[in-house]
Amino acid sequence: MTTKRTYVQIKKELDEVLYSFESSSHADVDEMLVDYEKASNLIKELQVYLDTAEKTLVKLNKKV
Amino acid sequence: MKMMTDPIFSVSDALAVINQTLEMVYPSMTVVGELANFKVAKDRWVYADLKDDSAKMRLFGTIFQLPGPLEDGMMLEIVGEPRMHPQFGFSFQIRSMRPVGEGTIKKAADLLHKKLEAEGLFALERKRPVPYPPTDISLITSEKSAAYADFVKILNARWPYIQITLHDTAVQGQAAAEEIVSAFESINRTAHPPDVIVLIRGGGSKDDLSAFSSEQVTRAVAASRAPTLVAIGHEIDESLAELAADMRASTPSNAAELLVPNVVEVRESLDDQKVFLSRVVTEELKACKTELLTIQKTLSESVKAYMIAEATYAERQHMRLESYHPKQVLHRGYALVRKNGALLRDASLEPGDTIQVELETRIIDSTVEKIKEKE
Repeated sequence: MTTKRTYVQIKKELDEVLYSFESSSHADVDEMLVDYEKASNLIKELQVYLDTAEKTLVKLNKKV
Repeated sequence: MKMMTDPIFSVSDALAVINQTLEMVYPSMTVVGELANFKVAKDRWVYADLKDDSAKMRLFGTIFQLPGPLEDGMMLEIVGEPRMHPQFGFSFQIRSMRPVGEGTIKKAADLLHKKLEAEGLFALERKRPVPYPPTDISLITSEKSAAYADFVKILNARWPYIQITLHDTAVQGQAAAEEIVSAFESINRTAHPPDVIVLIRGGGSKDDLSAFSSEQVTRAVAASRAPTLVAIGHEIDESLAELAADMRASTPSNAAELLVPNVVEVRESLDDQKVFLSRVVTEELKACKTELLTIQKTLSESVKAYMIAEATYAERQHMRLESYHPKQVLHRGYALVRKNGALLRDASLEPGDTIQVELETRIIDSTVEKIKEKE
């Protein structure tokens, strides 16, 4: 069973992919599109994480 | 008629009779005088003189009867028995003693203070932290006193979650010191000492409060297994027990205020903290979302820029290629010459040969008339 990745871990991976864009290290368009898709998926994952955190906060505030 | 004569005694018998008489007439005497030639022999036996302006008498006792440190010149009230010792003569055997007179009492208190201070009983390094708030306390005081009522009332109003075990003792008079010490000893013997021992009493005269500056009570406070909080009266001067305690309060009411927080204030503080935390977390989540949107936008623009750059490059290459197309050559005014369908560059021609000259918009069939070499 894989452990759920933390926000920090996902963000770190996104930073690494973004670095490849900033340093213009792509050999070709194909390589660039692969990285683009990867980055988009990571961003989506992070947004879901934040949405879940917001819902948890609302639930906790109601409890206390 | 026979004359009555005085009986004749031996020395021992005379002394025995004198002692019997003294015991019958004065089984106990209280004498006040000035202490002189005070000394302790072999860490046990006390020898001194008690004197006034015109007489003095020998005192004999043990260190267990001493009320505290003594010095020559102090005025003492001694309770004891007059006796004739077979070898050492008259002595007043001490049963108890106490300083009398304001000057002496103050002197005795100062001496005791210095003695206990020198032993380190009041040192700051000895002070133990008192749990805040404690779960259970042992309270040493008089159940009938206003101090007890005030303390318990304020404590329960502020923090009604605390367990109080009362040790009812006298808080003034002869029995007070012994009962207080006994209470400490009883608490020290328990398997699980309380979080804190609280010793309190309300205001009173110096005499009323004297037990709290006695050596035995002060030592009991210092030797307590659990941390101690002492609050004695309204006096400005601190009792020795307060100095030896881990924590001191000015009054029993103040003791209750220092021991526990106010539950109403704690609840309000928790509510404030809840609001603050919620706001901080919400702002943090908002900042993270904004950051992600920025990253997404930057990524998208970065890819677009890359694609534009690639497209521009491809277009440029295409235009460069186009410039080499034969049509472009013809458009610039050049002609293509063919002989028998094959392009001529520098082929041999003879006058009379038939050639096709292709211009941009037409092809001309021609015959070679003359050939001239270029210089």
